[in-house]
Amino acid sequence: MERSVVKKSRYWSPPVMEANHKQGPEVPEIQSIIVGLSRDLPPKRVMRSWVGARELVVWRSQSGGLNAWDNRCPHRGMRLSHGFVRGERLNCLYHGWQYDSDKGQCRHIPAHPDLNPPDTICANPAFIAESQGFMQVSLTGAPQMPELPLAMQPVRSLTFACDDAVVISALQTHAEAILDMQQDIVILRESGRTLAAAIQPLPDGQTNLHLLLDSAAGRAELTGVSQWIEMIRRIAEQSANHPKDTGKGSRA
Amino acid sequence: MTLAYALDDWYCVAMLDDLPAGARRETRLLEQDISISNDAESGIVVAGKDGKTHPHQIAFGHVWTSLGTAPRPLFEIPEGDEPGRKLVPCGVVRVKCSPLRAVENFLDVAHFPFVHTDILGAEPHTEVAPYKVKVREENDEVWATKVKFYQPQAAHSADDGIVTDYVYRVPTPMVSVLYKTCPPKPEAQDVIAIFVQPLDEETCDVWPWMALYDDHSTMAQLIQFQQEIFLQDRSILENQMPRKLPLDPRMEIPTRADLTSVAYRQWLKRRGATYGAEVAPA
Repeated sequence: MERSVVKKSRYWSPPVMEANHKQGPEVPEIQSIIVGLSRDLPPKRVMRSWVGARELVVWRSQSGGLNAWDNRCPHRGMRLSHGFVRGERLNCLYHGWQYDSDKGQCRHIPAHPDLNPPDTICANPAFIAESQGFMQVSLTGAPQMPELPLAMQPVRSLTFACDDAVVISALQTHAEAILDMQQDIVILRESGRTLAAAIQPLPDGQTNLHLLLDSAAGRAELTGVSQWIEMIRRIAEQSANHPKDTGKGSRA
Repeated sequence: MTLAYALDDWYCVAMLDDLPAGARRETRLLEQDISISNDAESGIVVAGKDGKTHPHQIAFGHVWTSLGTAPRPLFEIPEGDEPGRKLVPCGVVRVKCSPLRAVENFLDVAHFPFVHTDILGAEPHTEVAPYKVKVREENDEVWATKVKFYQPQAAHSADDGIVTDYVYRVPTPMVSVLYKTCPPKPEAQDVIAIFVQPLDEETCDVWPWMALYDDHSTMAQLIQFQQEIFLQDRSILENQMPRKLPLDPRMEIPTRADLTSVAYRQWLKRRGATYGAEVAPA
């Protein structure tokens, strides 16, 4: 079984992890990350996500507009991820304040139905883009979308109860081959097919993995890959609970 | 945060009905472990971990204590003594939020249609009409009057939607009392209060208490109605960020409907009652 040399992802470096160690779970500085699969966020759906320590609401309007904003209503600090979508607006669950898709401008305050809300009342948007089945958020400018080697289809997203270094290590150990690592994506081969696994570290020390598979693969292969990644999860979580003497699994 | 101001208030720490002879409640108040026990010999005793006892008094069906050296007098709710009212202690709800956020939410009507949908409010009846807020100088309490809101089911005793009149009162930073139209007795007002026990700056136990005119509902029904309302509030309170109440006016954006909250925040700041508050931007 051949393995190519793996470039470390830029957030995956021991010094950063140690520097943040006293603050509880490590939350390295991240400016841009893949937050999920486009397929899992249909119109009118709302979810919560993170870019590093920064908590976001990610949502899609009825017409398909994709948004990632700070997860906080400017009125009373309520998490907007508990809100609901009507048409092109996200509505805060607390007082029903309505924010426009795209710019995040507040357009309606139900307590004052005749008021035209001032421009100063606005959600705080980050940058979000999607291509090839991944949604990516950036805090600093238009996201640089990854280049995948071939057309792919969504498999699933799943959460690992261990940090990203352990997840990556489990992939390296158990995949047939690691083909490439670019930014936060591991391109690998398993059962003769190419997979793309996007790794998203979460602030509580857990990790999301968003998985795509060669679009030429059939239904049975999709099921097989889904079971394989569950196995990887078991292995990664077990190794995190019982760290070997590699010095790497120091986090409780 | 300043603990100094908070220490000299009285706090609700137990419900009398939960304290038969021999019973004991272990809890926390302002980050100190305390116990409330009801001994056959000495009666109710509030004590710290070191065995030091704290003063206590019984009011509104609850045990109150203060950890300070010179506690300010406990406020009164004179309406609670009026004949014919059913006094309903509702138990306790643990909430992971600042005690001040819990009080502020209690003062808010604009959330009724969205959080207590089809009970205390319903779209499209979302408008909050202008109302009056002032700090009453004679007792330094925040009062909001002439608050009106349409409610599909204002109380367990209500059959239909009505426009409910509200008066809100904040006698002390971690207590709020409201007076609202009593559906079966429109000339009178029901009284509902929350007594907030600060465990620390970001965790509290909330004790709702009611004094109602209601001859038909059972105690269990009344308690269940109030508990359901408060659990809906909890789903909001545990999802506000930051958990502490921001006192810097730049951190959150109020509108005219939030005048009570604006007055409450200013009043807290003026007194230095900042335990549970975020004073500077995080």
